[in-house]
Amino acid sequence: MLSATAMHYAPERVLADQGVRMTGKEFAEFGTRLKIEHEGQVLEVTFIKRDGDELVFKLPSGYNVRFSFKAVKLVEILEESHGNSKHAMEVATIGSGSRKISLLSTGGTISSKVDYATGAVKPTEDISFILDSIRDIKEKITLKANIIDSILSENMKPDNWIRIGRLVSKALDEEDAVILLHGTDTMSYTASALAFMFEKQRGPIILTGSQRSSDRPSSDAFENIEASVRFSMEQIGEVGICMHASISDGRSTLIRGVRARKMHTTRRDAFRAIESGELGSIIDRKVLLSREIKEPDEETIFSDKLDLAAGIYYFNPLSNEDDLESFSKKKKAVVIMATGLGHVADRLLPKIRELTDEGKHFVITSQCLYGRVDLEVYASGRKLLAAGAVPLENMLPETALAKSMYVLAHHSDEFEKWMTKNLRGEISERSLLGGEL
Amino acid sequence: MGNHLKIGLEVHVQLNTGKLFCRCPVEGKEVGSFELHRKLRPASGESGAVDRAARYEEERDRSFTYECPDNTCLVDYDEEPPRSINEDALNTALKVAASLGCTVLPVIECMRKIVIDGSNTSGFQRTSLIAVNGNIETSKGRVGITSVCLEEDSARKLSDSGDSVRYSLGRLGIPLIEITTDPDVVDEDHAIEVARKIGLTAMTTGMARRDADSIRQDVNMSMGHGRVEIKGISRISQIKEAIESETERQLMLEKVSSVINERGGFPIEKFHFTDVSADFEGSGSSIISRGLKEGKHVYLSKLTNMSGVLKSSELRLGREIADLTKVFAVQGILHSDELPGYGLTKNDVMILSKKADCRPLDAFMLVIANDSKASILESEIPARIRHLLDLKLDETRYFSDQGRTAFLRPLPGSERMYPETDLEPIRLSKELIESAMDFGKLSAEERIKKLSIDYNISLQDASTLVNEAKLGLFLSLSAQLTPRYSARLILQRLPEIEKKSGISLDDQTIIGVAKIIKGRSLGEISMEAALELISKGTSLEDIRITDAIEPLSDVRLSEILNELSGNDVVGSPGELIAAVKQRTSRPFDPRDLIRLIESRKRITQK
Repeated sequence: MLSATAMHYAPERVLADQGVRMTGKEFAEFGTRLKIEHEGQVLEVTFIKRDGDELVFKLPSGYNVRFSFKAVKLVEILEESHGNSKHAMEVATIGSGSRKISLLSTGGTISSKVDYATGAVKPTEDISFILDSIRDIKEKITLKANIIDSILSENMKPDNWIRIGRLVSKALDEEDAVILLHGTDTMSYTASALAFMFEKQRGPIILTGSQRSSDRPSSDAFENIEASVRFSMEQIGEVGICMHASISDGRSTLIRGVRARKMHTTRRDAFRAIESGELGSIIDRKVLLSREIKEPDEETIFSDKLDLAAGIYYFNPLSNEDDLESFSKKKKAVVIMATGLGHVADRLLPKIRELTDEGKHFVITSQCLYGRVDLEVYASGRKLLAAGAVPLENMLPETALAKSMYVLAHHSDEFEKWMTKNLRGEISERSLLGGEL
Repeated sequence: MGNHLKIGLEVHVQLNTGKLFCRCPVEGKEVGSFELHRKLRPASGESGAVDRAARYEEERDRSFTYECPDNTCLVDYDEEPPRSINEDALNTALKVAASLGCTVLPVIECMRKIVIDGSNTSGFQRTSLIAVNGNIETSKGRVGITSVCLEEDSARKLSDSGDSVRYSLGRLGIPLIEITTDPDVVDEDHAIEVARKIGLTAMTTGMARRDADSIRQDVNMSMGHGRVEIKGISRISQIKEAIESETERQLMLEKVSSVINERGGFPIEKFHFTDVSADFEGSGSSIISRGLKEGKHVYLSKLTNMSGVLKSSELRLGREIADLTKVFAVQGILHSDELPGYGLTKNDVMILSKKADCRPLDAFMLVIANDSKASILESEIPARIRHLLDLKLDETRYFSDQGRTAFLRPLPGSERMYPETDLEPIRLSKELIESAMDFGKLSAEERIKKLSIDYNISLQDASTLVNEAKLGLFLSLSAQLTPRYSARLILQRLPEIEKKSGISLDDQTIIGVAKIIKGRSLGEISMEAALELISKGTSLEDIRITDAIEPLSDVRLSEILNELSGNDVVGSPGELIAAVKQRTSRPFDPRDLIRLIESRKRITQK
């Protein structure tokens, strides 16, 4: 309740409200222009929000100020709020070209904006802003955008992968390519899971994200989407991740989902093809494709079965039989991130032997990420082999997890054979020197 | 000068505390081998609207290259969120605010100010309002202080080809205190006095950076036609020139406006481009033929009622239009007031005039540009002319090398600010505010006096140290050397060394040398010898170990004297000092030498 006459928010009033979570609305609507008094000064301000015991106002200069709730006296309402003029857009189609692309947004930084009521960056329902960035290729494509979820990727679960996979599969029935907007934190897990679940695919499935939210003028979101659209014009039958190839704009990379990994917390070029798997690059809007790229299939075959009884165990000097046992308890397959060439301490070997005999699977990847595991070089490796563990060459641990879930669901009786078989390029056939580590 | 003239200042002072939102030092060396390329797009503020100045930059669609010297990191490249605010910088801003009689805000909230001219890699400048409502006393009355803000400095522009701009990131993120005055400044001389006074207040904190452009000022002025913000005034003396030049310009526009109104106005709808490129095939005009060769087109438009106001003895509306097209990287414009000329004949002018359907008082203009630029300019030019004729002159301008103000961009609105969501608001502790208030109790002059007493240096030296932003260096050196010697070193010896080598040494290096000298238990002559070596390219690491800065012992001095003259000492002391200097690269105290000579003389006399 506000009136045009001066009103003081007396301490009693605040005390009476304690315990009740107050919203900004109890002072004024977001965007209301007010005249207030604070410590003897009269100010004309725009109300932004209430935050705990503080009120946040915007000064005419644009600066926000925070005053204690108790110290502010409302003098006059100058102008009621016009409300937020932005409207959410659920589906949008742009262009009328021949290449049909489906853009599905799952959330993440790429589709996040600042929530001014709380000040946090949150996924938004409105993705119209990103479509501005592909104006120049609009005539070659028909791009249909859909929001299918609105979550940050750390909250993604296998349920989400399956739901996303179904929607992607449906989209591929009608469209030529699918672009998936996704948070970067777990993007490579989702990409790997999709790669295994799509046994055949008639067009590219490209995941893209951003490391800088799109409310920043410097956001990488625009260029990453633009590059993804360019890659989706190509004959690609794989699941890939498209992100910045350098911290400069103008260079993008497409990485095979099963060989991609986020290697930096904040950099734009955080995603790297580990040892192999760069499918293509874009330099100044020109697309270059790798010759090892897999062509699209005639049809799409999607299997939505995954077995959740898998996990990644990070071996370290404190590891002991007890924690390995409790970790493995409800699991059928455990991906061990071992040290170096693929080693774990001798003290764990009896437990691995015992659990393997019970029917559990232990597969070996390396904490080094780069390079192949080899259990035949050192005695400890041979002992691990003897205990029943299965080395996975240079497969990335996260990829091995997704693959375990797929193989458990489809070929549980031939687990070892399928895990070591190169299904989607998850194992590099040749050990090339490659770039920097 | 009109009665309506209102002037306010924005004084910006760089701090030497280290960068504001990362842990990089303020000083760096240009490495040059590493650069970044970026584009920027406008983002919308809290209300969902895009700021007009930002939208305007977007239309320019430029690309940016950033050079990354060794005092930059991921934060500067916009590759990492900001680290917490530099506390020394915050304390300094609070002290300055208190000294200017301001009310400090209880909670400091960092904002993002959208700036997409490329001068910030993020596309915004981080800025925090620290305090409001202060004032200072001046010879022409009290001047209100609107606000004190703490912000990040922008990247330094190295070159600008219009479509692409090159910056160095060394300056990006250096803390900048921005002090804005109310429009209480009465004239140009008063503006200079106010700027000096504010600058001095900031310098008495000892945290002002010692550099050529470490204090910069913007002028806000209004003659009743809207607020004009003039940027890029690096020297205090230029304030006067800038105000005079802008006043002259606005008086000129008043005249142009009344002339055009008398003639019946400027109908905006009659401005449109006709492509007349075909008429210029094989043209004798080099500016046109060059443009055509580059694939551009020549566009013609009538400028109704504008004959004689574009360029005459005092009326210069043409320059205003050219300032606008320059912003869009279009250099090729010609108008009928400057024709015939530029390779166009009287006959060409007649044909064009007819083609543009000009009546006697009408003018025409030619624009040589590509399609996309022309379509922007076709709406921007008449809109700007309309603004100028309506005397709606509010905009951001800059003070150019030619000593006049020129159009930069529209004034930004409050839409350009939104909260920096990567940083939590800072709730200031009582102690912090009180210690700033304590500092603010003394005036700048009183603090200089106190400095001279506390450190036992002359008032003159104390004043010079503050005025030349050398107080910070002095305070640091005084912890290593004696205050008196520190002052002498900074004010006399250092300028000599710098002059001799042509290289200016930064504060961190000098302090580093002093620490080494103290650590090696060496004295003043070694300090100076070390600085000379540094100025010739020796590294701090080498200074740490070299013998070359150790003073010569009496024994060695005697040996040199022997070599010079046997036991007979001849020549004046000055000649002998010079002669010894030639024989050694090591430092020595001339007093030691004279003492030795004197004792030899005594022995000889006996």
